[in-house]
Amino acid sequence: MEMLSVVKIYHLRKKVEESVPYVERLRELLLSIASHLGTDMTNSPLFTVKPIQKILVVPLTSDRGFCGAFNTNVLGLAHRYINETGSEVVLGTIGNKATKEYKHQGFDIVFEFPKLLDRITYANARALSEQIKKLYISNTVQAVSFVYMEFQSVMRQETVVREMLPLISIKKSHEISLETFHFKPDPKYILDSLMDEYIDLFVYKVLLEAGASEQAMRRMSMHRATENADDLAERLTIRYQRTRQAAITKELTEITSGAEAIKER
Amino acid sequence: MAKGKLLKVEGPVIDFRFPKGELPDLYNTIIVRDPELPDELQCEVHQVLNATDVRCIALGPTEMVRRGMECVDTNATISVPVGPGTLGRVFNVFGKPIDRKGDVEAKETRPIFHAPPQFSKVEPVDQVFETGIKVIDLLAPFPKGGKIGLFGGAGVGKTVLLQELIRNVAYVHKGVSVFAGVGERTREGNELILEMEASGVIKSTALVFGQMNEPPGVRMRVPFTALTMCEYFRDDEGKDVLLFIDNVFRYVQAGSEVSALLGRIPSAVGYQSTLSTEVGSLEERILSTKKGSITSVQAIFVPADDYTDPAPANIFTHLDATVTLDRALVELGIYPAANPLDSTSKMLDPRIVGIEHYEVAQEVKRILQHYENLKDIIAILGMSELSEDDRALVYRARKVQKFLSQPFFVAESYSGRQGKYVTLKEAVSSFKEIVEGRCDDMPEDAFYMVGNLDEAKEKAQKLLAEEEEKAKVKVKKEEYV
Repeated sequence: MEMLSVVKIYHLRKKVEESVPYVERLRELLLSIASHLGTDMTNSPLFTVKPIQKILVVPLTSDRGFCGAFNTNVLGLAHRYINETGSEVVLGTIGNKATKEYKHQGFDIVFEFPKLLDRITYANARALSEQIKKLYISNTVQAVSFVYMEFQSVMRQETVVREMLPLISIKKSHEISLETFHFKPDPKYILDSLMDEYIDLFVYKVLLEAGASEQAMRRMSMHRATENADDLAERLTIRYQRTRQAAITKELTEITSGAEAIKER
Repeated sequence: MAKGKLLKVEGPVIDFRFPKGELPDLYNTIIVRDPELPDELQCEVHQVLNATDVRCIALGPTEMVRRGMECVDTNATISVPVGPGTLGRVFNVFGKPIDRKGDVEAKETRPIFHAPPQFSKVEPVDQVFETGIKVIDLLAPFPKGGKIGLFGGAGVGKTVLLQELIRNVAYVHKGVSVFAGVGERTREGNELILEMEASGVIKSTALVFGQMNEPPGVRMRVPFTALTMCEYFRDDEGKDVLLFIDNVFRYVQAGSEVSALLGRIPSAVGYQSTLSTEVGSLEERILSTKKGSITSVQAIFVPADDYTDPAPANIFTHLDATVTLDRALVELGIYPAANPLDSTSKMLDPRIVGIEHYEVAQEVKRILQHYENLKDIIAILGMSELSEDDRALVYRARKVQKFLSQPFFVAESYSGRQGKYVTLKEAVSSFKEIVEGRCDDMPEDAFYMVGNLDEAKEKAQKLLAEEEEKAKVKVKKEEYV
C-alpha cells in the first residue's frame, strides 16, 4: 500500500506542480482586470457580493481509511471553522468520510461527491464546480469555502480553509498596466468567461492538492505501519523461539528430575 | 588384547566386565564375537563405571546380544583406511567398504581421534577458493580452508551444486573430495552414489555413510571417519580437499541421543551439556595447514526454522560463509538457486577480494534488492508506472538475475547444455559490465544459462539475428498477399 501511494503521489504531484502556477496567474489576471475595470462593469452573478447569510463549506476527505490523520485533521478544522463563523452553514461533502460524519451530526448536506479523490479529472472537477456555481448564482449560499489539506511537499501538508467565493481582495492599484490593452469582443465577456474558468480551475487545483495530500499521508502512515509490523514480527519470532525452547527445556527438566528422584540411591 | 564378559544390555548401551588391571581405555573399540551373532558387534567405551566395569555405546544392532557373551578389547579406537585407494569407494563408519567392490587398497589405517593441528601449523583463512560458479564466487566467495554452511530444503538442487563443486575441484584444482552422509535418508545416499557414478565425479571422491538407519553411536562418529580420510590428503599429499557433511545437525542430534542414553542430565532445549565441546571437536579439525587445506561445505538443518536453537546457533559460530538455496529461484528455472541476497561470506571484504570485486558484488546486491522492492508496484500497477530510472534498473536487475544462472557439467544430461567453468576474474568483470549498464541493449534471454559475458554477447547476436530472420519472413509473406 505504501508503494501504491508512492506511485500515485508521483502522478498527482506532477499535476499539482503543473496546475498551481497556472491557477495563481489566472487569479492575478482576473483580479487585475476586475480591479481595472471595476466589478460593476460585469453583471455576472459570480461577481455580485451579497450579505452573507449562508455559507457552503466543502470539506475534502477520502473514501477509505489507512491515511493517518488526513480525515481527522480536515474534519477537525472544518468543525472549528463552522463553529467560528456566525452564519448558517450548509455542506457539500467530498468523500465518504465527510458524508458519514455530517449525516451523523444532522447537518444540511446539499450535495455529496463520493470517490472523487480517487479519480481526479478536469471533467469531474467541472461537475463539482457547476454544482457550486449553481448554488451561488441561485443565491442559496452567499459564500463558498473549502476545507482541505494543502500539498506543500511529500513530507509536508497543511490543513487550510480557502474562501473561494465571494471573490475579494480586489485592489485598486496594480503593477500591470492594462491601459494599453484593448478587449475584444468586450471586457465584460472576457471577465465573465475568465471568472467561469477560474472557478473550475480553482476547484480542480483544490482537488489535486487534497488528493496528493491524501496519498502522501497514506504513504507515511503505511510506511510506519509496515515498519511496526516488521518490528512486531521480529519481536514475536524471537518470543516464539524463546517459548519453544523454554517449553522443551521445561519438559525435559521435569522428566529428568522425575527420573532422578526415583533413582535408587 | 584383554578379554572380558558382557554384563548388561540396555538398548544400545552395553556394560562389560574385564579382569582387574586390564580395563580398556576411553573410546577404545570392544568387539563382541559369538557364534550366535550374525555379525561381530563393535562398541565404543564411553564411561568407566568402577575398577572392572565399563559402559559402552554399541556401533551396531544389539538384537541377539546376551549376557555372558565373550568380548575383546582391541586396545584402539576406530581406525580407518586412508590414502588414494579410498577414492571412488563407499565406506561405513569403520572404514569398511560397503560398495561390494572388494577390499580397499590402503597401506595404512589411522585412528579417527587425534588432536587438531598445532597453532604454528595452521594457515589463516584469507584466500578465496575459486569454485567456478559465478553466483558463489561473486557474492559468497568460499574461503580456502574455511567452513561454509549450506541451507535449503529438499529438491532445491543441493546435491547437484555439491556434485558440481566436487567436479570443479577435481578437474580444475586437481583436488579430491570426501563426502560424509550423516543421519539423512539412506535413499538419498544411494541416489548420490548412482548420480556420481553417472557423472564420473566418484573417481575423485571418497564417501562415508552413517545414515538414519544406524544407531546414534555410529552417526556421531561418521564425520570423524570422513575427516580422517581428508586429513591424509591434506597432510601427506598436500592437497586442497573438499569435505561435505550432510547433515551436520544430525551429528549434534546423535550426540544428544548418546548423552541421554548414558543417563547424563540434558541441558537447554534437551541438548547435551557438552554441545559446544562436541561441535568444536569436529569443526576445529577442519583447518588449513601450511601444506594443504580442507574446505568444508556443511548442510545444516534448522529445527522449526529457529536459528536461535542451540544446535544451529553453535554451528554458525564456526562458519565463514553461508549459501542459501531458494525454492522461488528454482521455480524461475534459475540454477544454481543460490539466493543472492541471503548468501554471505566473511571473504567479501575489500581487503581480501579487492576493491573491484567488493564494489561489483555490493552493486549487484543493491540492484537486486531494489528490484525486489519494486516488484509489488510492477505486480499491481505494471511497468509503465515506474520512473524511467527505475525501469532501466529493473531491466538490468532481470539481466543480473538471469546471469546468475549457470549450466553445470554434472547436469549436462538434464539440461542439454554444456557445463561452464567461470573464473573469478571473468565473473567479476562480466557483472561489472552489466551493472554499469554496458549491456543494456542486449536481450534478457542472452544472459540465461551461459558462462562468461562473451558467451552472453554471442548468444545475444544469435538471438537478434533470429529475430531479424523472423521479421524478414513476415515481410515476404506480406509481399505474397
